[in-house]
Amino acid sequence: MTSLTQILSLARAGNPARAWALFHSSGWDVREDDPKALTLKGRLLKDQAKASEGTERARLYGLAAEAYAAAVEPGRDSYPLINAAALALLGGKPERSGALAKETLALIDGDPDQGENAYWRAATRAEALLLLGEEAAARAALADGIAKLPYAWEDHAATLGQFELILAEQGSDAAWLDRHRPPPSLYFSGIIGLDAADPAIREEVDAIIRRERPGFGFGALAAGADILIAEALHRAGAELHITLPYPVDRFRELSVTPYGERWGPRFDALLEAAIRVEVLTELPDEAERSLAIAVELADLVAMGQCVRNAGVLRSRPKALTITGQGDQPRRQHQVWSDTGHDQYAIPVSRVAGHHSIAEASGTEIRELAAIFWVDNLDPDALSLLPDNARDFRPAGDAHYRIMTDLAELQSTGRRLLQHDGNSRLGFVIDIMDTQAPAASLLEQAADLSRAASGEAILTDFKSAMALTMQSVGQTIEEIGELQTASGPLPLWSIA
Amino acid sequence: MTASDRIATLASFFSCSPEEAAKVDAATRLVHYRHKDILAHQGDLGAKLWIVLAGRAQLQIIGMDGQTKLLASHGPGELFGAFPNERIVISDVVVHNRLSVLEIATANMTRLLQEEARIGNGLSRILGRQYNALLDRMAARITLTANGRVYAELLHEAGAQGTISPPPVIAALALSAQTTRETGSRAINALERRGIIRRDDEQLEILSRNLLEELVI
Repeated sequence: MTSLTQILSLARAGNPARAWALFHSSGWDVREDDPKALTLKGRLLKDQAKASEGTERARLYGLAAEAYAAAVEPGRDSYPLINAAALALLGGKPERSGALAKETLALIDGDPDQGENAYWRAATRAEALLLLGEEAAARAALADGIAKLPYAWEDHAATLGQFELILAEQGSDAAWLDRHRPPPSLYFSGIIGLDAADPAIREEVDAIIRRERPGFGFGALAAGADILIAEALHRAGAELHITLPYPVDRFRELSVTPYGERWGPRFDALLEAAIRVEVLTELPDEAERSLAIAVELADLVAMGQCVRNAGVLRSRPKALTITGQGDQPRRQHQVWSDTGHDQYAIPVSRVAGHHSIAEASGTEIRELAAIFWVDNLDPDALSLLPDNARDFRPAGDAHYRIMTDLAELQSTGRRLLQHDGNSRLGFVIDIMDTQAPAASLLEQAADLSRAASGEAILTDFKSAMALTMQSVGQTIEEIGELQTASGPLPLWSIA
Repeated sequence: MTASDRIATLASFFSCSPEEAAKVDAATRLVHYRHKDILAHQGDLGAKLWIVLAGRAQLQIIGMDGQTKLLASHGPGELFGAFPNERIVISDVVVHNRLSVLEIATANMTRLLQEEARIGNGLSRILGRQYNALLDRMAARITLTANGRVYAELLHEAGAQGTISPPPVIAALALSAQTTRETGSRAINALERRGIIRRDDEQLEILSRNLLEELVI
């Protein structure tokens, strides 16, 4: 029997059909006396409604509302009650919605312990008021809740998502929600060879940060632009999420201290202040990567983290880069431009003798690519793929294909899963010799596919973040961890 | 890490008293290594055990064809090295990124275990956990995320009453969850930021068990 937690994990990972099938096959659908099972039933039906259209969507919302309503124990728990109220509205039953919203308000007013915490108590009140058409009071209640826990960004985002649905159903303007959005996320980058003593550069960085008020910064910490921007973000109180293309000490000796010993302590201080540090590095059977390609991957990972964080928090991703005057944009920056997200560039004069790292790639033959691994590939499935995407190489019972076009990953995965929903697919995006990838990289891709159980493709953290920049309309979620020879690998599902 | 934090961490790691943990602490040496430093060479006589506090050590074998193969790796909350006796090292032990370990001679650990039964009991739990992780690896089983493990550990320590008093040392909580102090600290700070827990000098209190349970993924 699959547990409710496991089914919820599947639902979160973007597998509503599989989650629903397991909910049924495990017998949870007949447990009408179990509030937790009924609450999950409501959630699963709501997910299905969101993926549907027209009358089917309204029908599923209505069923979800009734599942939540049934989960309400007498006199207890405003959470399923408010969900039932909101979903009844989305299911085309405004009168039922109003009655449930009134019941929610009465419950909150009569019981000071209602709500999971101070924020959720106020947000639940705000939602009930909104459902009753009392928008001014709803706005005040939401502001009150946010003031009580101003940094509970994930919770604020969940409320904003729910309010957007309600306001759309009511035909009301949702613009007022923008003032409650969590702060934007900022991807930062730029050149090393700038005049760090030039006050104009610092003033311009500070002005952009003052104006955009990012709460989170994502980037590396090379001498020059990276450190200048990271320091400005830190001064402004933003969280720093650092991704380095090399191990910490190696990065310090390659990209920090050669440009002046003064950068070393600044790098150390920012690293200490960072809330998260990710280190990308070669595997034991590989030579060290060259700078340009290592930075390209680290940039993509940082950009992906930025876009993802903004998505989770329902705020906006932005980019800030300090470029050399006349420089061509780096390839990865073009990827950002293609997404259409905001970006700000500060062009500055390069200090004499400093060149773009893109010019220093030397004799590196490796490139950014993906290993797409399939266990038990059905030869018939290949017919679903374009002619130029069928060159899978055998590896024991499995097959793999190297892809340099990351966008191709999604279409290939989708087609193979359409052919057989139980296909076990995994991939890693990394730096490799596409003709002869390192054995350890192939092993990682194989490990990932072995852990897959169908209807989703599995990958690791860095690959998931890199793919985020290319992904449209896919659910990319962390689902757990996988033990591998190189240690526990955070596991991400693409559905 | 202060000496008192180290002792609290060891007490949690070995499930023993602070007095017993102090004996382990006195017998160990805190050592920091850099990327690609080698703790032991394939073929050497191994005479040390290491307890990983932060970072990762990789066990790399050089095959007959001269190729490097990664056998396994050890991270926070894991113990590795020569045990129960000194033995020939079967692989190079190479640092990945940065590594902080408590280092102890195998002979000293053996002596400690003979003197302090509870440390032996704690050690058996640690090795049991590592054995389970190895089986998970062989079975390609998906386990909880690092944050999920920290939250599960927090729920476990708080028990039905929902409080931990005195509040847990984050480094110790993280090691129990086999993750880094930074990850443990980030996970706990997020709970505090969201009003799911409350912490002061006296205790850690779970304010919303439902929200916390939902984060165990």
